[in-house]
Amino acid sequence: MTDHPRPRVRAHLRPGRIAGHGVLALGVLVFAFPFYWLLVIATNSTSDILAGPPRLLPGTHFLDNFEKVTAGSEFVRAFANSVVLTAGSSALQLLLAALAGYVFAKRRFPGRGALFSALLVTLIIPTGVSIVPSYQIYSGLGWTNTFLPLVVPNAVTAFGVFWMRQAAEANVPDELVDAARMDGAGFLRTFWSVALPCMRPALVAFGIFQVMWTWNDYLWPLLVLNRPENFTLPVALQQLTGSYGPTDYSVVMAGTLVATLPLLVLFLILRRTVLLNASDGALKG
Amino acid sequence: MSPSKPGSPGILRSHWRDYASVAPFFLLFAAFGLVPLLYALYLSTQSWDGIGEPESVGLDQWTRLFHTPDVLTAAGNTALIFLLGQIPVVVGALLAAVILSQARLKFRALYQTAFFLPQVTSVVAVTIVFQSLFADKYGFVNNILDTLGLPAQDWLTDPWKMRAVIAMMVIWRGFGYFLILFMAGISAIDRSLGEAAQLDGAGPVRVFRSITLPLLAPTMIFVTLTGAIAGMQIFTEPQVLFGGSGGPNNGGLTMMLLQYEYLGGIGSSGTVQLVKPDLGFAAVIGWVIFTALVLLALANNRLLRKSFGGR
Repeated sequence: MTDHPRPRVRAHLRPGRIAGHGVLALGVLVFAFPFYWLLVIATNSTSDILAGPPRLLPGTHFLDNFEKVTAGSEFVRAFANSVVLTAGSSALQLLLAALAGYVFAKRRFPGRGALFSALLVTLIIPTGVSIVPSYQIYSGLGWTNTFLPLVVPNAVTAFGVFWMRQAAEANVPDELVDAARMDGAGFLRTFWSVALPCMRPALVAFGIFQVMWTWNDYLWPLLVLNRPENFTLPVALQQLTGSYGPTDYSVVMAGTLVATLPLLVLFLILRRTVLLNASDGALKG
Repeated sequence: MSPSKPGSPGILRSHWRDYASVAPFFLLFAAFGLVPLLYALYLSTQSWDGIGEPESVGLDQWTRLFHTPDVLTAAGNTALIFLLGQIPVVVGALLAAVILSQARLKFRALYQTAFFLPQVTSVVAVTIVFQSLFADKYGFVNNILDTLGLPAQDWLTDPWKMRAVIAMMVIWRGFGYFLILFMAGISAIDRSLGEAAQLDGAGPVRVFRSITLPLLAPTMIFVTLTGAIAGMQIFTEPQVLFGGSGGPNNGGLTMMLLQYEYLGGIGSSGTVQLVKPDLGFAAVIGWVIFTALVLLALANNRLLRKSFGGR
């Protein structure tokens, strides 16, 4: 991108460049502000905020606020629930999508083309927007107040299989698969020890997006989890706003901060992978 | 590989692992995708509050769509919120992408990271933060207005301002995605085109208008249609912002939220019952949303195929 020589015409853009940085920096300030505000409110006490003049700097009351969150709700439990649900559901999705993607990309079997076309067609069919029948089915199966409605229907998605097939096609060399077979490796062994390692970058990328979506999922957890001990973080947060009224911001914000932090940290660690793959992730629609 | 003909029992024997590997998707899709859809069609002929006996009402629930004012309100709000969010985000992200795509720009990764950060947050958390930013009393925005000597605004009670606040959340969360997509689109454009035009004396605005913009058309269509698909399903922002309802004068009532209201508080506790629960009517609303989504996805597919040559 930067290797080949630039014509000198670009020189007249210099002032434009400074203006560009100005626009971007202003944008970053505006976009960062809600995070800063979250920090300010979560670390000041509600009475200080209401006593006004408006607080604009972080305070020292975060631990007091967070204590109220944990005392008044099963927040810690919700946090643990979110961790378990997100980890379990994402791992299952990765495994099943990678397996199906690998088979579609690298194995030959009758009906392969037709099945894959069918899978592509299902990409345009949204599931779960018609709430009533899905809810009826989950409750008929006795799945309410469990994580099953959140895990099983999405255990493998067309989008995931599609993404993993692309990855297997591009990154798993046929020679390697053949060599494994010559060495006597069976089907699962070839998939696990040969194909999966080659697909690692795509797995990491898909995994991050999956973690993001599951951690932040709200509609279905809200519908199927009715007991506080089953809540995931988004539902627990929504309940916090209800039970403390709209003005006890500090407590609610302390919870919000804790719920938001893990993914922020994860993203900052893996941001290169996320940004490189964001356009693939967006295809989900 | 296998000499057996399609349909012969040998196929299953020699390929059962392959079929077993791809089967979970199809089974789950049938059970939790297709069955609910068909069941929703049946439910749409019933009137049922979820507790008593369902009553068969023929097509009444479907005609009810046309004389329930809330449906029009919800459809209008859904469209308005989408437009209020989509137009600024496309213009803004495009501008930022053009600036960020300049060769040898400093801090590129830093900017990208900062703009993408909101995408990682949960909509519930974002809504709580925005609720506090735009609160009538003690809200940050009204405090600023007050300091500047301007009148405080009823952000969360006036229908237009409510929609604007929801749109701002959509913009804040979505901007980073749009930015990355536009940057990918720009980097796919051959740089030499712009450079040749510049050598011919075209200024940066001219290059943008005559080269960058037309070549970005497929990306524009893609982000608009995927934005519409997401916009059609908007639910969490108003639901959390207004405690389970569409807010004052139903200014934040969306299609998904309307469907939710007709469930009569299935799910989380503490929801006020706003309408007489009717699962049949909720199923009809679900089908309307479903149909709109399929049409949008079909349009997206067709246009993508056209512009990317069947990729």
